Amino acid sequence: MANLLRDLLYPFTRPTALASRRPTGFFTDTTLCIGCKACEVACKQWNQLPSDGFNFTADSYDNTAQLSATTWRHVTFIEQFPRDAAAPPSPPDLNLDLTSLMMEAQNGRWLMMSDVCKHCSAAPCQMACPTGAIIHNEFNDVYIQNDICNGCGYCVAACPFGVISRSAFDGHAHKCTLCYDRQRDDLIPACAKACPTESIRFGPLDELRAHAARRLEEVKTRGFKGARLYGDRATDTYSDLGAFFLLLDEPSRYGLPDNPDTPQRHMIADYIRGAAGTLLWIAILAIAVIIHVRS
Amino acid sequence: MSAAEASAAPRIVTKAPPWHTSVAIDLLCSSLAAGLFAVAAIIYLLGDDTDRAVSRVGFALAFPVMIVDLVCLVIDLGDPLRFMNMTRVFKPGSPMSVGVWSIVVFSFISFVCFAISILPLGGRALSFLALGGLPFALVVGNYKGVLFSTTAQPGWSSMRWLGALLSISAGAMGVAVLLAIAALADADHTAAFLREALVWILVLYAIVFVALEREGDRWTRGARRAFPAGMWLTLLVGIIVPLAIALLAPGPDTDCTAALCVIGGSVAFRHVLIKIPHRLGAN
Repeated sequence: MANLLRDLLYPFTRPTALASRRPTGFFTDTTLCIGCKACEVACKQWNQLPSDGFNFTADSYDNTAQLSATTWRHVTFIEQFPRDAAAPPSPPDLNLDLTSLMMEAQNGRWLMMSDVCKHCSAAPCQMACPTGAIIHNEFNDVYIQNDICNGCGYCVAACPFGVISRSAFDGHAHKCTLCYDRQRDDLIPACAKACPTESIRFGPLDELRAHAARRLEEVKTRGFKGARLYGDRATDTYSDLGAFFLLLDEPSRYGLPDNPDTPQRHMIADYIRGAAGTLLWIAILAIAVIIHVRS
Repeated sequence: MSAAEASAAPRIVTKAPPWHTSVAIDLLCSSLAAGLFAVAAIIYLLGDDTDRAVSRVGFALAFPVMIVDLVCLVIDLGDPLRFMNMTRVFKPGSPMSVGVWSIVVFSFISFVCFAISILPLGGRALSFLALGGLPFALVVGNYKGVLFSTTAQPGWSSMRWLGALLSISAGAMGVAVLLAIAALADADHTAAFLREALVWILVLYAIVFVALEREGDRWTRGARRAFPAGMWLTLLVGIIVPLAIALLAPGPDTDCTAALCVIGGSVAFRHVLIKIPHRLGAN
């Protein structure tokens, strides 16, 4: 009984907020990603996330398919090959030399991106959460307090990137914590630590942004005119991201929304429309009652 | 690169929320309870003694319906034992938080009104409670539309008039049910003005429904393709048929049929509404 009472009352206690520290985040340079999935494995290992099983998607080498309550890092594979291209040589006929390898780009290319929670500066999931379980922690990263979350699912509906999921195991919402526990011990997140090509960089956001701008110029001078940064700064409809990307193609090619929209931008106007509808039907009813009472 | 992709990125990025039948029932019951209470309150405050007898039935019905709604709200949570955490904070920027607090206050007032209505208690206290509970009933009838439109979900996120539509639907259901009760109780005077009110509220409902249908983005249009039967059923059964009954064959004999149609259309609309992101995501 005492335990039950403690469990019921505990969420209502208010600990002192921790002092803010320098905002941190991820910069994912997709031009360096080789699709090794070391980040996925490191994330699962550190955070003790269960396996998703050996599922065959049948349309890609990407068999993880998406971020979920048990997959907080996901390497997206995008195979861009013309459908009318000649079939690649079968293994016995492979005559791999430097020229054929260099020619691969003409036939098509693979884009790879290690996707993760975007840790938005103004996060729709945090704004939507009715329990206060989702907060910005002292590193300004978006963090779900799993001892508070009751699994209402509103954060799932609010996230424009499809990051958060509700776990069938405990019924709570889960996503990347940006290795909050490691950060508090001055360690870098497991995925960034494991990445062999430094495609995933972790650090203070201002330093990451400066590095990303330099890297973008470098990639463009190498002929990738479509290269762009995604989420490094706020747009008219969305805040800047704590986890931002260097992409070689349009965001939608990577499974990212081209123009993400903050759902709460429309809330006040929607309430006003709702109130207008309410007042109209109330007025209709009130007039009908008054007319009949007087008659 | 303009080349066709062997594996294209998914068209819809967002994940559909884990909301299914219990949320559709919750959506229906909260609208019905709010509608019943609001209509009963207005009749009680503005009507005469005969009308007040009908509105007492409305108060008596609103609370049990709200209980069903509360049960659905709790069992729909991933961790139902933590339902109290909803009252841990009040966040005006979260429609769900606004809704929860409105439901808490409304449920309490609606319970007291229920108790007064079924007991031979009276008059002035019920007037105060009706007046005090009315704003909360209206918020309960309204907020869920804003809750759905304030998401990133395809279909829902473009439905700017959804709050207004659900509110008018709540009003239509409240008027229709009390009209049926008035007809069954031979309260002809009350039934007469409720019938007139129902006609005009259904006209308003139809206008906003068409506005909602036309304003949508490609996802909403996709939803219409995905649920043609559901959308047409909503419009036909929930609005056109009861409107035709109230206009062409008004009378105590047909009032119950009209009320059943309004409720049936409301059920169909809420079922279709809940399924939109799931259906679009699956396509």
